Amino acid sequence: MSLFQRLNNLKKDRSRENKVKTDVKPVNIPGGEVITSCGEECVYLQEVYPGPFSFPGPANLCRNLRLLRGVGPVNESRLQEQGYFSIQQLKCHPRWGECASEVLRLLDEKNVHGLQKLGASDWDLLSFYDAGEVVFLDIESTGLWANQPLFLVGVMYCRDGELVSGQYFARYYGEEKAVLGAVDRLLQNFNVIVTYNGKSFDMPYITQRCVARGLFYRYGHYHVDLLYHARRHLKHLLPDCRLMTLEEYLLNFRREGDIPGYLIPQTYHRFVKTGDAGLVQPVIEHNKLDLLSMARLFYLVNPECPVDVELSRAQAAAARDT
Amino acid sequence: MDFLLEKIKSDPGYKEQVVHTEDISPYSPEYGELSSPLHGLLNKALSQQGIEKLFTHQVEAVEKVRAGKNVVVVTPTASGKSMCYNLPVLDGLLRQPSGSALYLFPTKALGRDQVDTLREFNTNLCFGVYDGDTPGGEKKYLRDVANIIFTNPDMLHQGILPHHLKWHCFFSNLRYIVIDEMHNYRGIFGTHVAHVLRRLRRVCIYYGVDPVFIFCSATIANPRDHASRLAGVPVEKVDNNGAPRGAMRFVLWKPPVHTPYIQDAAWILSRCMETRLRTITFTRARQAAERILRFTKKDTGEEGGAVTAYRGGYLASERRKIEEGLFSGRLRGVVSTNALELGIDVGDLEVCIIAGFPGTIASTWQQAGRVGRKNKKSLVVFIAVENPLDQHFIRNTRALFSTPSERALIDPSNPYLLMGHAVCAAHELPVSVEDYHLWDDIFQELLVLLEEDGDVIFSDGKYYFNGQTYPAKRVNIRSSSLEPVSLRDTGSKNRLLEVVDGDSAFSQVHPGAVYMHQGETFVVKDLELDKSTAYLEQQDVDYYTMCSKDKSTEILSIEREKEFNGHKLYTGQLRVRTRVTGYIKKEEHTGQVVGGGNLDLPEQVLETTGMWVVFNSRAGELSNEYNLHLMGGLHAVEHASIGLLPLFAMCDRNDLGGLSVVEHSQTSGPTVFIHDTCHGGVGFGERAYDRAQELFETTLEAVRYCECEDGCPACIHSPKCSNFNRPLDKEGAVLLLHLLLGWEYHPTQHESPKIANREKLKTAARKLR
Repeated sequence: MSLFQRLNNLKKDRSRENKVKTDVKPVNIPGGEVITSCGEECVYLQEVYPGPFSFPGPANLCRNLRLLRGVGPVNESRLQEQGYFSIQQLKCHPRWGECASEVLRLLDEKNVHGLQKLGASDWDLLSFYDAGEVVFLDIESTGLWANQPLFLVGVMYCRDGELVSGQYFARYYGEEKAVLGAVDRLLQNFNVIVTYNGKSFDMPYITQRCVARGLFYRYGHYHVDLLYHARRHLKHLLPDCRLMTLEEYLLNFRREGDIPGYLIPQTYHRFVKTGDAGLVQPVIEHNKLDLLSMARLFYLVNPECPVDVELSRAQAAAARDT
Repeated sequence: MDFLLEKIKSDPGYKEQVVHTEDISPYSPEYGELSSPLHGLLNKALSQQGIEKLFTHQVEAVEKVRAGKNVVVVTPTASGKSMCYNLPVLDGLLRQPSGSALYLFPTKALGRDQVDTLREFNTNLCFGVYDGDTPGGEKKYLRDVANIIFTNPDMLHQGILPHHLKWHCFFSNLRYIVIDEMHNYRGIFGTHVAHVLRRLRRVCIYYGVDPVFIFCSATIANPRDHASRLAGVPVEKVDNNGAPRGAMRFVLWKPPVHTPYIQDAAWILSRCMETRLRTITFTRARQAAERILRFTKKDTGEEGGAVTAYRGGYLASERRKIEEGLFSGRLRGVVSTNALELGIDVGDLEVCIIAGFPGTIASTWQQAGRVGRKNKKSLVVFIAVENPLDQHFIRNTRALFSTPSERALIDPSNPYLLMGHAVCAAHELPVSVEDYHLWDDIFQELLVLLEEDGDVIFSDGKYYFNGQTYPAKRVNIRSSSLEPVSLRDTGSKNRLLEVVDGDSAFSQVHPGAVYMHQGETFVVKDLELDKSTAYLEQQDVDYYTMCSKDKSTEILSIEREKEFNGHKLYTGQLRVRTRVTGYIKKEEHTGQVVGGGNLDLPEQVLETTGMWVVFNSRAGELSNEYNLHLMGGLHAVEHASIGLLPLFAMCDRNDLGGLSVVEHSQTSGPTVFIHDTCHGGVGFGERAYDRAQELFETTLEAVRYCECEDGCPACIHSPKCSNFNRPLDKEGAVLLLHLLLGWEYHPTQHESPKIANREKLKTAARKLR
């Protein structure tokens, strides 16, 4: 039907136009507790899983001569032939001495951002931290651009050898501020954020939503984006690098009845409209699975970890058949 | 300048084409005084530029902006218009350096040009161009620290508003919005821009700011009204021009009958090249620019390197090179479409050749204003083309100099254009009741429909965007719809030549069509619709092509109706179906038909608004009585009135379409439709309804006093007629127009040869059928 006709029909049927704002009654989310932050309320859900997740052991950053500006594979092997195996040894080297002192100072200060700029890998730098400082994070939003509010921030961290998942949920759009405030408070306790595609999606989304809500939080955390590593080490082995593909091939796990991502925004909007908590349960579940998978995949996307994709694929196929 | 005219007049090639010479006297400057002085830095910069006093209009603009009023400045080209916004903005920002301003220009090139102007002020404010060509790193820097951003409506629509959260520093301090060359924002493009500006205002409200709007415009009939419709805010007018200007000699030139104007334009241009005068030639169509260039290059031989063509569709780098060439004087002549009409500084030019009325009086003066800046004497040659508008000005030599400019029209309630912007708005920020006042009532209705389509979701009192796509990408603000078609050269590995609008692709690049690019002729080999690509092959051909179409019109609803001297006039919604069915080839110099072909292309459906005239039964009766061809008469009335409607509304003949029928299933009687050619319409047809009396009077004059015997491009022929201007009956049109105006009709004298001709025409038409 043409647009002109549709508008003419609409004029005849004015009832369709009467959109009224319904009063929001706070909905009870099963298993959730109401918390207050920034003067607003939101819901917090928590669950505990057997842990911990595998964490990379101590790395020897001092032996990585390539951290020096100007040292590549050629210079490195040349220096090794001359008997230099650690940065300390180069401290008095006529050519590299100055650089070496600079790197040693950064190592001393545990300046991860500085070292990262010099080419230190995530896995090496994680050795500055321990598993207790790491938080996994994943958000669910009502759109792909931060102009639309987000309504769920899930985090997962390790406590007393167990994995704890915490989810901050907004029962309607106005509670987003409380979610952002509570998440900010929680993130103060951690130094490393681990995400899947969070460098281009989740973290900018959170900061922009904070701006939209008049909160000017800054996150200087060390950020490990697992998608980068998955792309680098597994791209040629897997059909694609979606989190669910990794689950299937590496964890031998296939989600059943999971809600597809593109349905999440409209599901949430419908939930706010109807107050039917059953609608968002699958979304909360989806978010929790994402967090769990990240924690379990954390070590597997490490370049040193030998991944037997062939075997995993066979297992996955077998699992699918049964 | 005078010696050039003498040289032309004494040339053996001159055939008394000059029909009128108008000397436009120079005027002297008028200065004003500000009530409180400008910021010290600004005063210093001005005296460095050699400016000691401000013109009256500049003073008024500064005072009004200081008082927080929205203004529109309407003064001629080269009157120091950019000062009218630069001064108050810089003055305000220097006093409060945290503030910011947004400058909007219709094209990228203009924005880049104006940045250089601002640099001359030597302020410590941070400013830069933010458009598609700005590198990523610089973009982030500008977003965070810039006081002034130069951009264009396209970038604002696609790149800035959807990311307003990244711009929160800029928006929270936004104090001025400058919109230069406002007269460009009319018709479809203008309507789109009006919506983009409303979205901008919504974002401003969100960040709690209420910036002042400063518009600048060439002379149009309704600057104040247009500006306030564009932005949806009250605006005050500043038009007390105090800038001086040099003398200008304006020559009206009428090419001899049956000589293409293109040859005359090329001939004058060649003479200018010989006298080493720097000349700009404006043409109406891309193809005409290329053809004039070709003829000029032939005529001047080795001088060819000093003259070039310039038009939209060329790559940006090509265009930059030409602009620089002109500025530096390496190029002495350029043949341009209206692409160079806007304020790009191309240095001191001396002669301007306007090859064909550019469509509006405002544009004519804009083009003429490109020469003779800085008090120099200049020459403008206006070459009349064989079409009703041009001939109107040749017949009434005073008209061009005394007619007020046209009205710029936009239609912010066109649902087709607003629909896309409603989604964009919801994407930027959820839409609530408080936002409805920014748009017409139809906005609310569209949101209901959009929710039914699933594009937005109503929840908790607001409409939220629903989807994974980027809605701004789907709205092309430069056209009404459809994907553009890319033209590729099969001869050089399918290199991209240029892109054309999807709407006109069928008629411009159907298989077999001749298309010109950079003076070269290309023949379209294939048009792949699913890939939106046409494949062209370079061929040296000496013909051009025109296509024929099948067309039908259906009335969807009637908006307004009135009695008009016993006939009925209507406005309303129409559905127009067109199918390109074939084409003919015409010889380049003589216009003789030398071949053609049939085409099998899908039908295009256009829903738009328009007006239609239903004649009473007298029309048919009298046509029979005087042995006139009714269909031919209706057809001629349609062509001639469409040709003259641009006198009343700021539009182009191509923005209008028409159809005439002896019998229409939905009306009772002979009917002539005049409609807009964009989806949803922008009100050109309604304008014809409002000004029917004047329109048909002018039309009658144009038809009756045209010297031709039975129709020519200057009166009733249409260059884009889908039936190749058949059947047409000039005398029939005169009769019908008399009836329409309620005037007594007396058959024109010397009947006999005309009737014989008409008989011929009738038999020819019968044969065709």
